[in-house]
Parts: sequence; structure tokens; C-alpha cells
Amino acid sequence: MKLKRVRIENFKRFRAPLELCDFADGLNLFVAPNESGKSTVAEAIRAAFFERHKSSAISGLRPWSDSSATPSVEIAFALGGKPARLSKAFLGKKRCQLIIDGKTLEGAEAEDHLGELLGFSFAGKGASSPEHMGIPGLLWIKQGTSHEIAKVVGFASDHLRNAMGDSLGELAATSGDEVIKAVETERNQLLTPSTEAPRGAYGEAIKRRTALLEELQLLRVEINAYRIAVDRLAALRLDHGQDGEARPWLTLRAQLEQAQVKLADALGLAQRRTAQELLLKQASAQVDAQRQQLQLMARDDDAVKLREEKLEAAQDKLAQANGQLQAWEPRHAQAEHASMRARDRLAAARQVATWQAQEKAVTELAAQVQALSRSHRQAQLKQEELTSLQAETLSLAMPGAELKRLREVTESLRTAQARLDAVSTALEFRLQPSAKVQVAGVQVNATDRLTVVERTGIDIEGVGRITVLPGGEGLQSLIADRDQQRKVLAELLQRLGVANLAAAEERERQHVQRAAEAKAAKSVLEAHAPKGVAALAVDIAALSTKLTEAKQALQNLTEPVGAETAGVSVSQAESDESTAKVILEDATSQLNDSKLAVSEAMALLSVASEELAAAQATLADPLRAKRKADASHALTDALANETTARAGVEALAEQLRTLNVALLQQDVERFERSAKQLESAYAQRGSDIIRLEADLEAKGALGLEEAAADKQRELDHMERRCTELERRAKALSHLLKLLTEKRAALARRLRAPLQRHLNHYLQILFPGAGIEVSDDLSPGRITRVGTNGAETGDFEELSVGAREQMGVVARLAYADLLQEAGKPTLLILDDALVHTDKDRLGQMKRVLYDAAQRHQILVFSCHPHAWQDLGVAARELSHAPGYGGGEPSTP
Amino acid sequence: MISFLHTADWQIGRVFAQFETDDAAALFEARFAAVERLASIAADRGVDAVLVAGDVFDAQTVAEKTIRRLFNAMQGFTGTWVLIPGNHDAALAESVWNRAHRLGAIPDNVIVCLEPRPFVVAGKFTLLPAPLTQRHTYADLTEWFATHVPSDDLPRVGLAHGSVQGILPADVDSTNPIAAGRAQSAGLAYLGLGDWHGTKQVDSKTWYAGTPESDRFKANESGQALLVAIESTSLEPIVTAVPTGKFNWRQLEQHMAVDSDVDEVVQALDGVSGNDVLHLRLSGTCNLAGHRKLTAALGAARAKARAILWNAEALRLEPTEEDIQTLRADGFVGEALQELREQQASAEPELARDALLALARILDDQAPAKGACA
Repeated sequence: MKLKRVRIENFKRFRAPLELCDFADGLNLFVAPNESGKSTVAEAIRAAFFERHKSSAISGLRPWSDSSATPSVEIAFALGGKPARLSKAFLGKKRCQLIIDGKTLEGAEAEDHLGELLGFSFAGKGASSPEHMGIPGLLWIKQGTSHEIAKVVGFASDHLRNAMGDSLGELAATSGDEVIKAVETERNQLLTPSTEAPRGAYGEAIKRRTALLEELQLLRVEINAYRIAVDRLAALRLDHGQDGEARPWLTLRAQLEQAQVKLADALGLAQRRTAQELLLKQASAQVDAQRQQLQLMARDDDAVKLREEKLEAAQDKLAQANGQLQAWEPRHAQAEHASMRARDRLAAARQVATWQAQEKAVTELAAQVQALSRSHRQAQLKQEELTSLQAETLSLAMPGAELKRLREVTESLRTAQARLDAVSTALEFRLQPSAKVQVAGVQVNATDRLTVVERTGIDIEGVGRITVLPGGEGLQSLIADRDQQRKVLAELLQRLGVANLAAAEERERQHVQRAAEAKAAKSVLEAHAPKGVAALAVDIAALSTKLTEAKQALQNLTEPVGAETAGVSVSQAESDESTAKVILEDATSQLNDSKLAVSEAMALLSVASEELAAAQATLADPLRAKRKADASHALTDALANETTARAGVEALAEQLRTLNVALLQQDVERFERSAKQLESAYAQRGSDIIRLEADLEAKGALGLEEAAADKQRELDHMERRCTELERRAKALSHLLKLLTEKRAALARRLRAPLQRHLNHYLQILFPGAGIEVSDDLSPGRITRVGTNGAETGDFEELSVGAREQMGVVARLAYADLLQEAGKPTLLILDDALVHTDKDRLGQMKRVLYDAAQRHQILVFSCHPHAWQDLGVAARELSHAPGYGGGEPSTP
Repeated sequence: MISFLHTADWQIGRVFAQFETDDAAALFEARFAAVERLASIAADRGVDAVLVAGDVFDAQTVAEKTIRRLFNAMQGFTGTWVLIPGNHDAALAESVWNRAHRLGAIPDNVIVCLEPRPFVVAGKFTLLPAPLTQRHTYADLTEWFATHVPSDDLPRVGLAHGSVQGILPADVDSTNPIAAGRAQSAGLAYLGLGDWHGTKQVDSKTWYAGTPESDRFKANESGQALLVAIESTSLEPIVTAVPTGKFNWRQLEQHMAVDSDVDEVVQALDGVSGNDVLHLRLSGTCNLAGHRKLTAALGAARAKARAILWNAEALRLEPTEEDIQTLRADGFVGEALQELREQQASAEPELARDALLALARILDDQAPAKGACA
């Protein structure tokens, strides 16, 4: 497909018609600055092909200043070498006309025909969307989208596949993918997709089979146990029956009896030996007893001798004690007499002492009473004096403050008078002796000096009256002050009852004197009667009573007379008496000891005499000789018995030495135990049998084997099911793998031509690089040789710039593929390589130049310099006819 | 004239694990029904007794219900039943017989011989039983038949369970031996045997009755009982086989090579009846169309027969060009199909065949309208 001419009217910024003609078959480069309408041209071409002329969803194509305009496009092109013309008007006067092959198609018919020819379809409704744009959508790169390719390839994939299919002349599986999908679905029902582990019905069956196996195993174990128990029961019954008949314990019982008899015999011998031993013991005891008795009798003779000695000793002791007693008796009587005399003398001395003391007490008491009476009298006198002094003191007493005030007022008056005197008028007289002068009615002496402070008349006889009017400042106030003081003083004097200050002072002095006198009187009084006069009187009365009593007591005492009363003091008498007493006590004690010794000696003597008598009596007993003879006989008999018994014991011991009682006892024990053991084993087996029977009965009722057979049937069924499902799962898995492999191999074959075209361009861009084509025909993994060796990465991992370049390269490869399949191709690159650096752009230009040998390519760019070596002249849109007819746009 | 019905190996309580649940249940039930038929035959023929030569029960510990049902099934004949234990139901210390006895399930007219003691049946003949008291014995339990001194001149009939020495195939278990010529040596009028599941005459007076209801795929004349008439000890007994089985157990093996082989199997399947228990074993090769035919015939037969066991693991699939066209298996799917076909000759032929069948089925499903054949 080759564009020949494009005419645009009322399209966005182009209101006036813009016409681009003389399109080259290969490269066509349109350059214009940003926002100068270059994209609008591309957009108009897209709209012409992709948008239904009736669609109202493309109102954005209108010029911005005119909402009623009819955007229209007219494109002349050649398809398969034949000229065609498409004219479309939108929105306002909707119209579509396609003239091709000499036919003229109108409206939707024209649009659909075009879609079929170019490999795209229309949106059901509204504006066209990428998924409908098919091959042109892939080959016409919109601004900034060249690096996004997978999606647009997807939208064009049917067309591409068709193209490749045709080119290979090979049929793909009619519905291979659906087969794979069906196999996969079935496989996934039985196996997990990732690990192919059993799941769903298959998983369930395996689980159930395992469960059944376990259950069956349990049943088998139980059945086996049951069988073993049955066999055990049979064995037990057999043994039990045999034992029941043979009764082996009876033999043992017989053996036991024999052993018991043997043991009884042995035990009898032992008993006899014990009896014999007892006899021996008794005989020995008898021997000992007789011997002892004979020894005792021999001792009696010795006893008499001993007693006689003892008696003698007692007699000696008594004689000695009597000697002592006789010595002490006179000494004791002497001491008693001396003691009595000393006591009498002491009593007399004490009587004298008592009388003297009483007499002295009377004298003393009398003196005391006299002294106190004197003090009492003195005290009474002083008391009276004190009372009068106290009364006087009281009468003279003046309040201290009043006296002080009197002194002050007197002083104040004196001061006031002085002040007055200072300012008063002085009148000094030197009168003639006969002159009679009266001042204020008072006769004046010849040389008087007077002072006046008020109007004062001086009457001079015969002369008349001279009135003095004293002047001076404050005179009146001074007068008033003085008068005030005078008045206060007068009042004070009156209140105190004194004539003046001197009188008051005198009275005060007297008061102080009296008070001192009262104090002295009081001290004297207190010396005489410290507790008061009354108390003193009481004391006197008490002492007087005591005195009377003492006098009475003295009278009652007899006055001591005699020689002994004189010269011996009480203490001397006491000392003598005490000494006499000690001597007496000592004598008494010695006397008593002597008496005691005598009586003790007499008692000992008496005992010794009795003992001797008793001993002598024993020896004298006529029966004693007989007893002694008897004892001798008995000893002889006992010795004989002892010998016999010993011989018996020895004989029995000899007999017993050959018999082992312990072993015999063990025999009895052993036989008894064995018999019992057999019997109890028999009984035990009997009860075991009963228990086992009951147990088997209960277990048998469970129908274990039938249940196990049933379980086995279930398990077999489940085994069959598992096997079937496993085979099915394996088959499906196998089939799926095979199909997938075959499909992949086919896909590789199908993609080969695309791969070839892609490699062609890739070698120009990245020499030595390799690229895989993905299942969806978009570029996949790329391997490039860099400085670090070969590097492999997915297309999506490349930089934007590289993806952009690869995007263009891939599209050129698709175009080649489509062209080979006889499909129309046209490539439009609208600012498609903006992220590409200078070096790469250089390579890309080589790529584009190469592609332009086969395809018409429209390159729109805003960088004229970047493309100046593309090998074609750049055409500036501004130079096109009609450019500038519109208003400048604001996008 | 003495007459009795000789039967054996009832194997009551047997579970047929190789079949599906419902089939197994029916075959389990069938054994009770066979006993009912035996009772009915005995009653119809007016025999003196029914002698059962062991293996009455399949196992010692069967369910109580099973025990009761058996004796209930015997109600149709009120004459004497003589039962001896065999190796499956030996009279052990504790056995199914003790249980039956404890349950009170054994009617008065049923004599269970747990000990080798002779007794007179119906006043007409002396029965010498050789009950098994162990699961397996290596002594001949019928030995005492020969040494037993009769106290009367009634004919004597022996009843035993085991293998008569030297006449059964070598692979049969040689335990529980019975000396050949025992009837002769013991002067018996008849020796009734059990253990061998098919009817088999050992000598003129010795017979295996076989099981009254077949239980395995062996053409050995099972599924019948023996009606025995004895005129006198000196004469040979008149033995007549009476059919008692319901189900017909059959086994069919077919090697497939050509299309007509398929047709033959299909024909056999088409001909099955409701009482058939069939085991099919296929080998060889067949194409997909043939396989589809077989599968369809099998489906139809399964709905008709009592039970069918199908064993086609040895069968190899050879899809023809027509098969492939029919399936529209083109492109890579076609390649996969071809490879699977070849893989059938490799190490895992079964896997390849299963995968091939799965692919064919899925392709069939994908194009139901254009599918060659259902």
C-alpha cells in the first residue's frame, strides 16, 4: 500500500484544507516543531481508516474554534498497484466513499471493505479502540508508544498468524489448543498442575485406600489374635484334660507324707535330748545346793568366836565412857553456880542504871519548860509591839505614785512661777519711813521689792493711787499656767492631807522607819516563837505534861541500896554474866556427851551378849549334827544323778548328729509347695479356659472374618479405582506433555520466517545479537554480545530506548512478513525514536532505509537535524499548501 | 432303598472381592438361595437325608446374621441334615459351630458332627463322619472307617472333607488327605466328599459333590448336587447330578488381530444373559473404531450380565488413517497421535495406549457433530 496524497480540512488546527502530495514509495520524512500539527496529520490518517464516518465519539477532531465544522480527509493511495481513493467526512455532513478497482463503495460498506483489505476491524460502537486496529495498529506507531509492543502484537496476532500460515503453506492443528486445554483440564482434575500430586477423586481414592488398608490391617491383627486364642484354648483344654486324669499332685502329696514322718521322728529325738539336758541341769543344781549347805554349817563355829571378841570390845568401851562421865559431873555443878551469881549481879546493876536515867530526864524536862515559858512571854510582848507598829505604818502609808506626782506638780508650779516672775513688772520701793504706801491694799515696807502681774493699784497716802498695768508678752498665759499648777497642787495636797511637799516627804520618811521597825520586831518574834505564839503555848503545855509523868515514874522506882550497887557498871555485869554462861554451856555439853557414850556402850554390850548367846545356842542344837550328815548323803546322790544325765545327753546328741532336721524340713516344704503349685496351676488353667471361652465367644460374635472379607472387597474395589485413576492421570499427563512438546515444535517452525526477518534487522542494529520470538509473536529474550560476554534478558527488561528501537525493528519484521504473505503494508512513525541516542539513531536510519526498499514509511519528527542523513529530503508541514489557514492551537 | 442328597462346599459368607459392590452382594446372596434350592429339591425328592461334606461356612467368624440366615435357608427340608466341618469351618476349640449352637440357631433336624462317631440316620443307614477338628491335618481322618466294627448290618455311608490321594491335580493342597479306595477298604456303601468345588466321581462309590453355586471361573461342573440312591451295600449306588446353581461363570480369552475378532467378542458380549458372570481377557491389536465397538458392546453387556470382569491390558491400539481422519487429528495433534501409536511398542505400552485412548476420546468430544461414531 502506498499513500499518494492526503488532504485534510477542518481537522483540529487545520481549518483550511492542508494537502500533502507527492508521497514517495519509500521513506517520507515530515518535520515540524512541536504543536505545529504533525501529529494531527497522523491522527487524520488513522481516523480516515479506523473511525466509522458515523461515529460521534471523535468530536475531538474538530477545530477548537468551530463546533459545527465537518472534519474531512481525503486520501489517495495505491493498493496492490491499483489506485484507490478514500474520502471521509465526520460529524457534520457524515460521508464515506471508497473508489477502488474502478468501483465506488459508500458508507459502512466502504469502511468494512477497507478493513478487510488492510487487516483491521471496527469498534462495535463509539470510537475505535486499539484491539480493533489490527495490522495498522501495529505498524502505525503513535507518538511515544514504539516501546510498547506485546499488546499491539496481540491485537494483530490473528492477521500475523494468517500471514505466516500462508507463507509456510502448512496447516496448524485445527483446534489443537482446545485439545490441549481439554487434556489439561482433565489432568488438573486428577493431578495438581505444579507437582502432579494426586488430587480430587484420585486423591480421595488414594486416601480411602490407605484408610481401608489400615482398617483391614487392624482386622487381620484381631483375626490372628482370635486364631491364636482358639489354638491356645485347644492346648489348654488338652493339658487340663490330661492333668485332670493324671492328677500328678497326688504323687507329690504321698512324698510329702513320707517326708513329714521322717521329720516327726527327727523332731522326737531332739525333744528327748532337750529333756535329758534339763535333767542334767537339775542334778548339777542339786550338787551345788548340798555343797553350799555343808559350807554354811562349817561357818557357824567361826561365828561364836567372833561374837565373843565383839562382847569384850563392847565391855571396854563402856568402862571408858563411865570414866568420862565421872570427870565431868563436878565441873558442871561448879559452872552452874558461877553462872547464877553473875546473873544476880547483872540484875542489880541494871536497876541502878534505870533510876539514874529517869531522874536525869525529869531535870531536863523542867529546864525545858522554864525556857519555853520565858520565850512565850517575850513573844507575847513583841507581838503587841509589832501590831502597833504595823498599824502606824499603815496610817503613814502614801501611794508611791501620788508622792511622785506631788513632787512633779510642786516643781511645775515653781517653774511656772519663775517664768511669771521673769516677765512680771518689778516694783522697787525706797520709801521715806513715813510714807504710807499700799500696794493692792497691802502696806509696803520701805525697801520692798514687789512684782506685779496684773493691774495693781498703788495707793500712796496722800498722793493718791498709782495704777500699774504690767505689760509683757504671754503674761496672761503664764499667769493662767501658774494658777493651774497651783490649783492642781492644792487639790493634791488636800487629797494627801498634807500642807506641802515637805510635810509629805516627812511623812514618807516616818512610814519607812516604822516599816523597818515592824520588820525588826517580827524577826524577834519569830526567834522566840518560830511556829507562832499559840504553837509555843501548846508546846509548853505538852512538855509540862511529860514532866509530870516523868516525875511520877521516878517516884515509882525504888531507889537502889546496898554495897553491890556501887562500883559495878551494867556493861561489866553483862560481860561477866556472858562469860559464866559460855563456861556452863560447854560443861553441860561435855556432860551430855559422856552420858550418851555410856548409854551407847551399854546397848552394844547388850547386843553382843545376845548374839553370842544365840550363836552358842545354834552350836548347842542337837539336830544340827543330823542335818550335816544328811547333807553329805544328799551330795553323794546328786553327783551320781549328774553323771547319769550327762551320759544320756551325750548319747542322744550322737544320734541326732546323723539326722539333718533342716533338710527334712526343706523336703516337706518342697513337696508341699510342688503339690500346691500343680493344684493351683490346674485351677488357674481351669479359670483361664473359662475366661478364654468367654472372650472368644464375645469376639466371635463380631464376625471378624466376614467383616474383613467385606473390607477386603471394599479395598479391592478402591485398588481398582486407584489403578484406573492412576492410569488415567498418567495417560493425561503423558498426553499433555506430548501435545505441549509437539505444539512448541510446530510453533518454532511457524515462527521461523518472522525470526528470519527479525534477525535481518537485528544484525544491523546489534551485530551478533539473537532474539527469541515469543508464543504471542512479540519479541522475547534477547542475547547480545557486550563487553562482559553474552548477556541474555527479556524484552521487557531492556531500557526504554532499546525497547523503542526493538519495537520499530520488530514492526519492520512484521511488515516484511505481511508483505511476503501478500498483505498491504504501510509504516507510520510519529516521533518514534525520541529516546534513542545519536549512535543508535544512526543504526536505526540504516534499518529504516533498508526497510524503505520494500515498504512505504512515513516518519514524522520535530528534530529535522536528527534526520537529515536519512537519504530523503525533509518536508516541512508549514510549506504544505493550506498550512497556516487555521488558528494557532492550544493543546 | 436309601436315598439322600450329597452336597458340599457351601462356603456361606464368602465375599467376592473382585467384583463391584452390587455384583458381589448378589453373589453373596446366591449362596443362601442355593441352600434353599437344595432344601426344596430334598423335599421334592423325599430323600432320607441331606449330607453336607464340609466347608458349610467360608470362615469361622462370620456375622451372627449369616449363621441364622443359613439355618433359616434349610427350613424347606424337615428331614435329617447331616453337616460336617471342613477346613474353612473346622471344629476347633472355638468355632462357628459353637457359636451356632450358643445362638440356638441349629434346628433339631440338623445334625452337626463335630466328633468322629457313627450314628444311624433315619433308621436306615449308619453314617461315619470324618469332621476336621484342625484347619489342616496331615493324618487321614477316614482311617477309623476301616477299623470301626459295626454293631448292626445297616449300610454304612462315609462323609469326609479333603483330598483323595493321587487323583486331584498336583497343585491342589495336599493337606487333609483321604486314602484312595477308602470306600472299598471300609466296606462303605457310599463315601460322600467335599473340598473339590466341581462334581467329580472318584470311584464307583466315592464322589465329590462340588459346590451347589459356582464361585470361580473354572469349567469344572460346579453348581450341582448329587442325588444318591442305594439299593444295598453290595450294589453300586445310583448317583444323579441335580443342577442347583443360578449363576453361570464363564471365561473368554481372545487374541485380536483382524476386524472379525472384534466382531466375535462383540457377539459374545451381545449374547450374555442375566445370570452370566463373565471374565474377558483380550490381547493382540485393534484399531480405534474396533475399540470403540468393543467399548460400546461392553457397556451394553455390563447392563445385562450379573457381572463382567474386563481385562484388556494386553490389547494394543493401531489407529488407521480413517481413524485419524475421523478424529480430525491434524497438525501437531496428529503428530502426537502418531507418536503415541509408536510408543505402544516401547517400554510403557499401557501408558501410550491409555494416552492414545484419552486423546481419541477428547477429540471425539471436541467434534461431536462430525464424530465418526459414538
